[in-house]
Amino acid sequence: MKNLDRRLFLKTAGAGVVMAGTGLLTGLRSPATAANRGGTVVIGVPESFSSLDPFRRIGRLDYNAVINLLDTLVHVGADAVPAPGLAESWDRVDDLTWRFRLREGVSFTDGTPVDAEAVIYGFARIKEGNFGSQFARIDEVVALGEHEIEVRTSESFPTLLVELAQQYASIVSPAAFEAAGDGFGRMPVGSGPFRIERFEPNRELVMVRNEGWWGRDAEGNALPYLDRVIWRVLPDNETAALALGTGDIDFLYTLPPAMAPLMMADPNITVSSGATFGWEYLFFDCTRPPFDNVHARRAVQFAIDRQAIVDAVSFGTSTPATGPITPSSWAYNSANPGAGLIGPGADLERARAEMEAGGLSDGFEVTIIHPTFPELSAMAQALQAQLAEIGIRVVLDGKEIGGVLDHLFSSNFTCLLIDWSGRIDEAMVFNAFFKSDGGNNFGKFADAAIDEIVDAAAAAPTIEDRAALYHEAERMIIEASPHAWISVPSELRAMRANVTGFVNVGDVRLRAWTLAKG
Amino acid sequence: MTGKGPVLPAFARSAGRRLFDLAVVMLSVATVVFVLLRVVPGDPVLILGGLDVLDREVIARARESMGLDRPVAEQYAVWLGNMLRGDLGLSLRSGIPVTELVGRALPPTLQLGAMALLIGVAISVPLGVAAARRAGSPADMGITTFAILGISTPPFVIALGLIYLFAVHLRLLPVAGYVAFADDPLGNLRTMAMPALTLGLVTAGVLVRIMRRSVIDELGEDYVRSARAKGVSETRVVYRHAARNAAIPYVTILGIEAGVLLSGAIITETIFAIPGLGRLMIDNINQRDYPVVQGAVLVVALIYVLINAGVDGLYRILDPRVRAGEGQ
Amino acid sequence: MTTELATHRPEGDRAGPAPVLEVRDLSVGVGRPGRERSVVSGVSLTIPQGGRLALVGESGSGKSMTALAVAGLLPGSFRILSGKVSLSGRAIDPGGREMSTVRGREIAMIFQDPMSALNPVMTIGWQLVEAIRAHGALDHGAARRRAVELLEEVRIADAANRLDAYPHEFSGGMRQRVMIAMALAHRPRLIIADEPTTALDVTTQLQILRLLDDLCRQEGSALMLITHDLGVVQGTCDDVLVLYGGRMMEAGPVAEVLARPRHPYTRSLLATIPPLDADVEWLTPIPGEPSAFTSVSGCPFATRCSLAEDRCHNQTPPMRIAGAPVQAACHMLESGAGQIGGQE
Repeated sequence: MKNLDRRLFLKTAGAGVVMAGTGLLTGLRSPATAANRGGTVVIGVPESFSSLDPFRRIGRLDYNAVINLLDTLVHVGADAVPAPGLAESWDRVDDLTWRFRLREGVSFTDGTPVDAEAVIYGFARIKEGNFGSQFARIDEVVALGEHEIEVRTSESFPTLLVELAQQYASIVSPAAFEAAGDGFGRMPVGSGPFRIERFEPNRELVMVRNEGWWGRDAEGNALPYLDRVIWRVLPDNETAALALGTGDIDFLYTLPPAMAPLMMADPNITVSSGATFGWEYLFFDCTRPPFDNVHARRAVQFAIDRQAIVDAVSFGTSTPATGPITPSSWAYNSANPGAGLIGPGADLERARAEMEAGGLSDGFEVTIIHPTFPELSAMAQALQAQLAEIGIRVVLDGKEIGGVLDHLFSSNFTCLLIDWSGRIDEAMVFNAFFKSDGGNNFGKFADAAIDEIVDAAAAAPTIEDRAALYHEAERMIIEASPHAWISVPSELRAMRANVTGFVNVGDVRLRAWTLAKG
Repeated sequence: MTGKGPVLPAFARSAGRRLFDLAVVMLSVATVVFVLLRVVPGDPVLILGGLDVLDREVIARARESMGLDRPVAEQYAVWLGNMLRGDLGLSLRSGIPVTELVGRALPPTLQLGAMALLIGVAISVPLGVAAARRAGSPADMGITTFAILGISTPPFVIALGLIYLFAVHLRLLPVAGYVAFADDPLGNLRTMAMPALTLGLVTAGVLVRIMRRSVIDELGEDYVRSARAKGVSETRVVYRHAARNAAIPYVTILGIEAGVLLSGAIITETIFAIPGLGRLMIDNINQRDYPVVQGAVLVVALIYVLINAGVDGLYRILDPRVRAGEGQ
Repeated sequence: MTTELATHRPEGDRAGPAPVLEVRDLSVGVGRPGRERSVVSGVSLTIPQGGRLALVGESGSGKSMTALAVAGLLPGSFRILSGKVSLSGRAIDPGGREMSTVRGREIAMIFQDPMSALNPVMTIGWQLVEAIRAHGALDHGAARRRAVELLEEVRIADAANRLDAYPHEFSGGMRQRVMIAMALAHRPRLIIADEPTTALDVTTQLQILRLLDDLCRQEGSALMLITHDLGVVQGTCDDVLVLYGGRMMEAGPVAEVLARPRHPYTRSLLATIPPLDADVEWLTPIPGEPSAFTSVSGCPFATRCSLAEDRCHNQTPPMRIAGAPVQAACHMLESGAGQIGGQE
């Protein structure tokens, strides 16, 4: 029963992040066994990789190659919590000191060892790189032995582990990095599951198995299973789908929602729809009328019928977003979603009450800037219709994404519709968006109580304490409504039925080392 | 001005004139593209990572490492200076030299264009002549209908039709992709066949009509009657006289079509995943990778100039009156 | 030497060799099959070996169409509707395939505009060689030598070096010489010259005409000279056939017709030629415009004829003897048309 299998697979793939186990890799319930080890999987990607230099500002797709080529000290495990990577264990000695023990016997693919010296070199590159500011609190990194390092910070750095799991904290071969100079982005050398074989911009990226990688599946088989992964650029969605249909490629990196129903009808193709940590949401400028008035923001928040939008715009592949914490996050409050304030449907009565409370009974006019992507354009039109119900006259201003980002980054908007890919840890989300000095706080939202609780949530010692604090922070943020969250998009992937082992983590990274081809 | 200084041969003077024109064209194109790219909204650093990290410090560092923190006038001067030395700069996104990116993109586009033109000519000359000889007949109507279909069908429809036929139904060719000729000649032809046919059919549509019209016009000329009066066979009259003269207007349109092919290549290269110039331009316009777009547009401008020079050269071969006009 | 025009004489009666060209009752039409309108109607003519016939008329009279029909070179939508053409006693089908073996070899043509009659992108030599090699089996080298001889025959100086010149490098007169050279390539029995001098300046006209005349005599070729200019006819041709509106008006020896024109149209045509000593204002234009198509019935000239009566408009006058050896097609011959002078 192929159809049944596929449905089962969809379920497990979508729930990848909540699987039990100690870590994503070791806990992998593997449909891909040693029996079908080997082979090549061709993955169709919609655009070219640009640079694979992890220390540059590079694109979302580029990180998908980087994660398969370069290893990090810390991995993202099941439940999206930190898991061992190149560091097999760690201790937080005190508030300002961390110790990491490195795996022994691990080498970069150029044969040089991954030891304390190499990791210290790596930290220096990270701090020099475009993302150095993320690690500004790190004062020094010292070797305690050949395989042990100590990280000393100038102030408490509770999110150090999740930052070290990011690709911009990749550990690279010092010898190769020095030798390559500016060319490192084309031939990166690290100690990841694969090593790069060939990179032709605009055409193909070929990676082959790193035989010496330390990763193992649940049965103790060495990962990755595949000999070779070819990432082939297929810019046209239609052709890419046809190429999957004929078997020219085995895996489609991203599937437009509109094509999902057709793909699901093909018995040779498996579709995976996995929740992400991201949102599609409205950004309010909290200093500019009418949205300097919290009642205006809340009125919009309550007037949105999220379920209706999800059904109409994404063909049901995404889910309603009832707050900043997404359902796949470890911090999600499943007992009280939306803090009991917002749900999937609209609450027009409350929305009208907020309009009245804010002295806006006569309604108002507002311009929403939005990118002209098909999904977001459709969403903007739905919002326009929904907000009209409570007397808000929406003027739509669709722009090419470059123009939208200009407006956003320069805080030049009243209301702006955009998407966000999400982060693996809530600290990275809350710090960036809801703190008054947050890097992504383009709506100039400022609330001292929220600053305080967000800091506390990031620094709390246990995951339970953090979750409780984030639940409270989420309630306060929904009350203040600096955003109106609409939906949580899904990662839609399509693959040939003989490709197994795909795991969706939700962080928009394709981990090719779990894939196998039957 | 006559008789003073060394007398340059006519071709040398015309070559000098051409080089000067070329320099003017290239400089103008370079400047216009540079300015246009910076007038269009959109910041390469922001677009590159999307919303992934918009931390101001990260953005500032990225901008600095790309040299975008310096005044625009300075950026222009530096770029222009480097360009004169043949250095087109580095891609903002990838750090790869633009000359290399363009150098990689050029062969597939030139091959695609050449194959498409070849297919266009191979189809249009016999069909155009055949239609002209039997103007008004059912055969002529059939050929004219084919030509109009070729012109009016969007290339992506032809492309998808070919994919469905050759890749999905017959499984003879891969759906899309590209293999360099040097790596695998057969594989190269297998990947280029459908894209070249797509553009070739579109081109053939235009060229068939031109060939037909021109041959009909030429067949009404007096010299054709003279040739017939000499007792020359009809086939020879059509090919050696009428078609030979029709080649002059035909080559004009061929030159224009060669230019049009470059823009048609954008769609075709996208559908068939050919890593050519068209895609290099469109991708990097979307990404605001200024140096890559600037470099690619310069090369495209150069190609246009070369096509024009090629057309002029063909005129010189085809029409002795043009050769005569040059001596003066 | 008389031009045979009448159809009443049985063919077997003639003595001597068969005429070079004999055309009987030729009609040419234009338009879709079944809906043609005729542009030439009932034209008959005969040219004996070495004979010289002038076809005279205004533009639209059908003179060029008659010639092109004989050579099988009618433009696309024109067709021969009826009539018989014989070359040296052998019936031919001018529209047929075998004409390519006749054209250039037995019948050669020279056209009005030497500027456009040569292929502009091919050398003079190439075009001559093509004409030479279209018939016969000369190799390329021999053909080029023959081409030089031909150019010398038409008195082009430095012929060997001009072979690789292009038509645009030649003057109009020289190009017409080249056309004549091509026409002579196979010593054809008949040369049809369609207004060969019209596009040339007056001095060149005379030279070309004389050259044509000389070479025809020298090679023994018959000549059909098509012209609107009666002045050209005198001294060049033996016989003249006057056409109007696609129909024959008058035919006979040149000297006879020019001295005593029988047909009113011929007379008005003569009136348009200035006597050598006359002022230009003295010319009498023929009133009205000729029609491009032949009338279904009636005399085509009737609408412009000062003598026309009712029957002229209704009945087509047949060609008949109008004082031998001249024939004319006019109802008014008996009512003294022949006596009326060329001026009012």
